[in-house]
Amino acid sequence: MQLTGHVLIADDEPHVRRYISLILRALGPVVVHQAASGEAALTLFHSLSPPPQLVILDINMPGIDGIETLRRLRAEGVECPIVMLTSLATRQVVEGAIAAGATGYLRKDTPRAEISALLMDVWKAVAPADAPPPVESSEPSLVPPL
Amino acid sequence: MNTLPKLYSYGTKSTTSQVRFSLADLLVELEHEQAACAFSMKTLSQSEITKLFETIRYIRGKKT
Repeated sequence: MQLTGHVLIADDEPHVRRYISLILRALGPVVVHQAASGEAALTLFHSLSPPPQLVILDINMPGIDGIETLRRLRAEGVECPIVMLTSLATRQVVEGAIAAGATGYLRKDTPRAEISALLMDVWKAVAPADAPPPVESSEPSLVPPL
Repeated sequence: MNTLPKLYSYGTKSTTSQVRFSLADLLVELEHEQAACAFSMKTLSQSEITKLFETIRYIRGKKT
């Protein structure tokens, strides 16, 4: 099974967005959309049609943080998997993310293979069996293919 | 002439009129709070986080 569809990554660090994009593209034909803040992620999420099938959020971001972004998306009725990707991994923060509706939680220092495995697990849990590959947008990609 | 009540006068044994918590109880509570704080601030490994999520999913699954 491959990861397909549209994925939104929100992280204020461009190299992290790039790194996760590379991992995602290795998992399947995904279209990756990137945002550098919580506000930008919310705006981008609402502007995309179809909406992203998977959202990956950093926690420490300028403006509204990842947990608040997650909370707002869930409050709007967004049901797609939302995975937190952060270097903050205290029990308090993790439990806060769970309470806000996170589907998964990844430490940034997790090895690439584990990140891939968790993203695939999250995807398998929600993906329709016959999900069609996404149509590439006409906009130039920020991330080169592997 | 000493106008203070007998309770506060010099040389009398003072008695406590109101006790809400004993010192021992307060110390035990303080210890628990410190432990809880340390517990909540503990950094979790990726496997611990995954287990926590699996536990929560299992509990939510049982509730529904």
